[in-house]
Amino acid sequence: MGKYFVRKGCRDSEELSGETRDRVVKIINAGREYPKPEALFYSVASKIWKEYARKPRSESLPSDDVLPLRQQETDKKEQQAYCLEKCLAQLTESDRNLITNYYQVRGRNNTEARKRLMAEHGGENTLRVKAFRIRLKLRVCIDACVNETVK
Amino acid sequence: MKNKFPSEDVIRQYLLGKFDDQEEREDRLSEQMLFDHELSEIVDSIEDEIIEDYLDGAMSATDQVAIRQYFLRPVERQEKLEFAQLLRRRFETRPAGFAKKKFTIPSEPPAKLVDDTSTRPHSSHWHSHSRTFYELAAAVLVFAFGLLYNSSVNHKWQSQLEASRLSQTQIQEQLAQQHEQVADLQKQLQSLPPAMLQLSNTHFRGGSGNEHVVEIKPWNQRVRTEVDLGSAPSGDYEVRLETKSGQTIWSQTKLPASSGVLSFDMPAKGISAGEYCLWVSSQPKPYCFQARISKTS
Repeated sequence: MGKYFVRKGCRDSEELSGETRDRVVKIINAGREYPKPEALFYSVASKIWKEYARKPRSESLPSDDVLPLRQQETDKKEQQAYCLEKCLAQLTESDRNLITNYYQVRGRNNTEARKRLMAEHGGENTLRVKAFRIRLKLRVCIDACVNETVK
Repeated sequence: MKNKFPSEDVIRQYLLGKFDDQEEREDRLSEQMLFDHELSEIVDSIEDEIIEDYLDGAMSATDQVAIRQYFLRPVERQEKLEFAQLLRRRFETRPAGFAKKKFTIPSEPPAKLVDDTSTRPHSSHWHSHSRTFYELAAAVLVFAFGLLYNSSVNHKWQSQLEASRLSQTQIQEQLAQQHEQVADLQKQLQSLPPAMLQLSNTHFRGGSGNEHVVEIKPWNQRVRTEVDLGSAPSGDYEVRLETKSGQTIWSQTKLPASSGVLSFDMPAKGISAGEYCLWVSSQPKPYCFQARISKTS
């Protein structure tokens, strides 16, 4: 459910998914039966979203500080970079090659190379989804590595 | 993409919040994306692409605004952006990647044990016994050679594994040393004086003052900025740095001003040679300046 709220650009996605769960639990505890629980979840989430969207709130300028300067941030980045190396080494060779090539062929000057890579991997969508899955593996691995380092 | 799925363009528009005023369409897409696993994965991958395009600066001004004001609101997406930057730093600085060591393992000839006694006629009792004896002896010999061979192969593998473990440890040590050196260098860089930028209302866009130039040296990581706010009250301000074409490259909120002066550091890395304007909340016009990048000290 979290994804539903994230895709709607909602800042409080976790809070709203929690609210959705609570309301669904209440409905089910009230004794009514629902043959499709996912439809119930969706309709509750959709209702919560509409309530949320109607509420007025102050939106300050988003902090898109792409290059934060604080030392804490620098330390975090160093740690992430270290973990990224570790996690890249844990990938299979084919995954590692794919993600490396994927980033090498980005940009306007690499159209031909990008086309070749797409052709090698079954087209644009398949390549994109493959790269997405590898990035996901890396994110999970890096998060675990950073948490371990913090301990 | 399967025909039953919405097109990439439609998904992108959805993710940038452009259907928020088309309730029915938005609802239909949300539901489809939530319950179709395959589509959900495509949507997630397009989300990553949007972030990459944003970092490439390959988006229209309208889409960039939608990204900043809508798409990047959830923390999850801000984390994705941060992760994309991490990957870029890694692959832009060291694109060659890994050269994984390959082990060559000697292929062991398959031991073929064939029992051919049933196919051969028994010529005599003695012959049969002597053959059984030779067969037994041969089996013992094969077994003994097998043991020797296995032990030698195992030994070889063990040595190779040991050597690879050793080289891995050495590489890890070297990496750790390099990390330390990089950290030292970064500390040294932080201690170097930053580039200085002082702005006043004479630098308002279209103002009458001389054009202000900030010179950024290769080692500068920060641009120390002081903005004379004139009679503007003390308090917190929001600032936004834009290129000449209006693209925001940096922003910061809750910057305190005192005695009419707003002081803060901006990252130098995103700034290349050219004209920039700095918007400060509550000020009617942006402060503009030229950036020059000096290649030598």
